[in-house]
Amino acid sequence: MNLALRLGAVVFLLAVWQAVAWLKIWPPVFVPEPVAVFDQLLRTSTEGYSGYTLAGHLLASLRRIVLGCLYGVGGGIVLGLLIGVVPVLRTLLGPLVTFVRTLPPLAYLSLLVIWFGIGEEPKVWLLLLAALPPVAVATADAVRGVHDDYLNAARSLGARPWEIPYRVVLPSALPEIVTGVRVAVGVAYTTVVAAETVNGVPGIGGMVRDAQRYNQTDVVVLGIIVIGLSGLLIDYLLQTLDRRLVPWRGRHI
Amino acid sequence: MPSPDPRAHTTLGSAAPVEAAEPFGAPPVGAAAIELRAVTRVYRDRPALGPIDLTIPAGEFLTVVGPSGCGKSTLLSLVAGFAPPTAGSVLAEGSPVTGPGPSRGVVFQQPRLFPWLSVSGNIAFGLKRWPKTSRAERVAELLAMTGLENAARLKPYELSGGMRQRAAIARALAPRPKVLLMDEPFGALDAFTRERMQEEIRDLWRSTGVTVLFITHDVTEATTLGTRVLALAGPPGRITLDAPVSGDLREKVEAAIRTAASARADTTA
Repeated sequence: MNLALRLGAVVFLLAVWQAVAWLKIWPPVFVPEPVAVFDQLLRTSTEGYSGYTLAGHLLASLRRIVLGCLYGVGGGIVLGLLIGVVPVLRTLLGPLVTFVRTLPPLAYLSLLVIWFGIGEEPKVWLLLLAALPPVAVATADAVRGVHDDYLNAARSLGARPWEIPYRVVLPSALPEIVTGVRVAVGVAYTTVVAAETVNGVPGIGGMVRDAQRYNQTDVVVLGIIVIGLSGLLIDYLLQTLDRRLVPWRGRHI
Repeated sequence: MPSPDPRAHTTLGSAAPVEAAEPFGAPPVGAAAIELRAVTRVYRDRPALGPIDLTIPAGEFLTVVGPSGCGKSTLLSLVAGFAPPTAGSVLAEGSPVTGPGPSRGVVFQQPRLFPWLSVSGNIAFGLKRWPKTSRAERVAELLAMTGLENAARLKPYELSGGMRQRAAIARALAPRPKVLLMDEPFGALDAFTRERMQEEIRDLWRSTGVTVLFITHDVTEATTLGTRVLALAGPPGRITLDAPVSGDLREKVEAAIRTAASARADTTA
């Protein structure tokens, strides 16, 4: 039922799109036909675009997203734990994380390019910096929100002070951390196109940027659709992971 | 009810200060399970408890009853070592309590099971430094004692309220604590489950010989469960009654209640 509804909505959107294109209110450079975009899907998949196939572009982008998210999530969890557990670090690092979080990634891309050149490093760094704050903030809040009874229970069961963070605090904070990871991956996704504005080929963002330069709107639209669809798929995978990791989410114990 | 525990046969209530100074030494002979000496606790300029003097001999089932906010939970957290006394000293087997430890197991009002661990995992939490085989044996033993054999692999959110609290009791008993501290453990359960749990905790106390400090606001629960009842009034919490409950007194009370109930049933019939 849900699936039928969703498919119906997609078909409806495509129909509206095709109708608008047929009406020729705007030239194809503004609104390319769905057929043209589909044609580009086939051509970029087989012949390629800017020297790489669509899959090559997508894989390059996904690789950056995965790397950036891995580093960002790892760093975010460690930083969040430290901020949540050590009051001095909360005072010191808390505002810094908020500062970075409020910056648009493009604002520091230039700095990263100056520091790391135009290879893979600045792109992965950018995604790392985009993915880290949501995880750090979620972890820090969750760590501070762990009920005293859990900590007391662990301590009266003989857990040593240094064991508490990984035996109790971290797993207790897992639901919020996983939510933070989902947000982080989303932010990384929205950032990847920005990260690929400088020497972004191969990469979906680089492909879109090149297509924009030559007014190949059908390729631009194709790139947007591919980013969106792969993002949906990844979020679905993360939701599955969420159910596996925190089956107790939302249940009062 | 004579306890099989050898601790029950020692002289009670006389802590030996010399041995008490040794943190890792054997427990001083004759030391009480728990002793509070002129203990007070102040929360942000508000006296919450005391001064209180209290000796809990090993093997006792002490119930503490009083209205909400009278300081009974404060008393428990001081004995558990969750909070230090503002003045006075808390001794466990003659040694000062400096923090929580496996010699004093705690059961909270909410089960507070670790939701990411199975029932077995929760019970094994306090057995981390035990050898693997004896850990498994101990977990199996506790599952059997609390009737959770079939729930070993279940996660806490898959259990009923009563089973959760049983698992919490099993977890607290696993490291063989000398004292079991229970903070209104059955307060959140329905009446039927509560009665069953009351019977079960009495049986566990008899079979293990553990000393129990049981906090409740239910007078009937206090008098039917305890071998000794403490009434607390406050804040600041002070002992207003300290009375032993002998087994036959409890039986008399129960018989009296039964007679009264059947008499009422007769008159209504």
